[in-house]
Amino acid sequence: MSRFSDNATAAAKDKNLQTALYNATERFKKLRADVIGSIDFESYRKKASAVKSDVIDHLSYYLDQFEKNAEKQGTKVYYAEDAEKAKEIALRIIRDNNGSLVVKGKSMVTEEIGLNEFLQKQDIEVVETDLGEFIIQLAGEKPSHIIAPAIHKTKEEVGRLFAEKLHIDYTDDPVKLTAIARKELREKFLKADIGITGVNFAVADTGSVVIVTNEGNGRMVTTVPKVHIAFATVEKIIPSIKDLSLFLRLLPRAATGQKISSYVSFLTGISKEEKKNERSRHIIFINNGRDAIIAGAFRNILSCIRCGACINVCPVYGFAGGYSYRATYPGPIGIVLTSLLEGISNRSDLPFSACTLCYACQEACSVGIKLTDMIRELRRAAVDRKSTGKKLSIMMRMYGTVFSSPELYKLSKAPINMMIQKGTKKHE
Amino acid sequence: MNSFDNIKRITSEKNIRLRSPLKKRTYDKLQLFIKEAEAVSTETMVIKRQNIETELKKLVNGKKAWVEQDIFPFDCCSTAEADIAVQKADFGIAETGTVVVTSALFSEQLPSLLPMHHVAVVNESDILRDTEELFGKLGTAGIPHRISFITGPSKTADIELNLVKGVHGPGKLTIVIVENDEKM
Repeated sequence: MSRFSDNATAAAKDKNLQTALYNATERFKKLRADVIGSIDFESYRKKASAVKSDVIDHLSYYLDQFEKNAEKQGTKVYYAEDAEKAKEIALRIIRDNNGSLVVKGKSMVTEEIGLNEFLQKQDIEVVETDLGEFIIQLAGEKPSHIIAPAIHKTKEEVGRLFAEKLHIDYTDDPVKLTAIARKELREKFLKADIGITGVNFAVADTGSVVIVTNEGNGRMVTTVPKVHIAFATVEKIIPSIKDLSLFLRLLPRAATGQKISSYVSFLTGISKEEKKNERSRHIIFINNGRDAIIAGAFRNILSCIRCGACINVCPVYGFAGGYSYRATYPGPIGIVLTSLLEGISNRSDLPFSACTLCYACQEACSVGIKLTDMIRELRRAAVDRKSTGKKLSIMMRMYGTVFSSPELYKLSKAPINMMIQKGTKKHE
Repeated sequence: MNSFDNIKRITSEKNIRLRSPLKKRTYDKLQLFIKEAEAVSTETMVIKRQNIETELKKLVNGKKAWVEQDIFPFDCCSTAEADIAVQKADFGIAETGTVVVTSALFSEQLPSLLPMHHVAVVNESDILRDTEELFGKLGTAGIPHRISFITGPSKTADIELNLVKGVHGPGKLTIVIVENDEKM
């Protein structure tokens, strides 16, 4: 298996990728900067952090409350220990409803558990409907950014892909390509039996599933097919619908520089009339290792609302791109989550090679997660476990000594600065 | 840090009072609603109650249109066939230029979703300041099964960050605001 540094070195040589990454991350940064000042960001993220900490501290209480309120309204609530269990539950729901065509909204957790591959093996057609996800599904790839999954593809590549897979004439006009996808996917929406989505927020005091989208595919998937299955990792709970004002102001501003996204859908149970017509709504809460994270020192990582701001500001992501991480979640959030989910000793390449400890992510985080501090702690943990080999371990101890003494640090900076200047020139 | 410091820290963080971006300013709710809606490419019209039918007919006549029965009878197409759909919205939110469509049934969500052009009719008196005001009104017990916030047209930037409208939902949104009667 290739390590982060090898993948990143290869990525840095890919000209198309470098242009795409530069344009995208700069654009996202600018969009966010233009609008984030319209709220008192510091108070908002402090409050968001407090709300999420409260959720994690009292998770089982809020899960119970969610379950009670959701079931009262007609949503069925399931709990899955791990990825396998979650997929089994979904398959059972699909079979019970004689489903053969699934349309999907964008969801990172279903990537984490490998849902599509599993369902396809059971002869169930699965269609991604977010335009970016649709593109990478056609290409047989994985998302390279959590909110812009096809960030790495040029319009010409998309044009060739559509021509080949959808048997149409080549065009690289984004407007035409989008219209083609609209037509293609509209047919799927109308035919599908099952809609599958992730969840942005699961609201405990109403039992609602809240989904935020711009394209409207989230609305389609939860409105047109008879059955809606939502997948949520346990930490997606928020206590009250009243907390949503805060999160609905933070998330779109931080993610795409919007005051609000085009669509916010609140789905709460199912009406009696629809139930009679065999319509149903299901939510599967997935643990998949979160209990261990909650029990440990990195529990606040579960406050993440997946805005992607840390990814866009990360200088390493800006060169390495999403695939270098070999993980569902890239960027700074990915370094921490992947290390915790896959084991610190298994993925020590990430905290060491994929981070410069520049603190841009920690500064940008919408919910005040101390990302850089966590990555530093991961390094320490990896060294303590001696999982990185003796040489690196000694190096890290030396770094430790240097960084804890201002004089030594000043001395050490001269060669580093020279290296940075050299590195920058190389990329010009 | 002793445990009491810790308690103080945690409880004070929870008690941070957030200011809605609007609260300190003086503003006209209707003007703000229109400004924010237009900022995200929504078309807006303000009409008098007695003119609803004539004004809306100008929008739909000669088109494959779906019109909500309560507004005026218009026998043409289903929402899946229509190019334009006219439907009442329950609320407006001034802070973001959003219209809110609540329903028990999925079918009532289709007019704002399937056709290329969505026309939302909202009463000026139903325009609320922000989501705090909306959530206060909705309460928690038995909120509608389906609530959609709709702000501007459906859009994507997934191909090289080019902004394209009308991906899956409407490419065009028009909000028709019906003036409060006392202004007549």
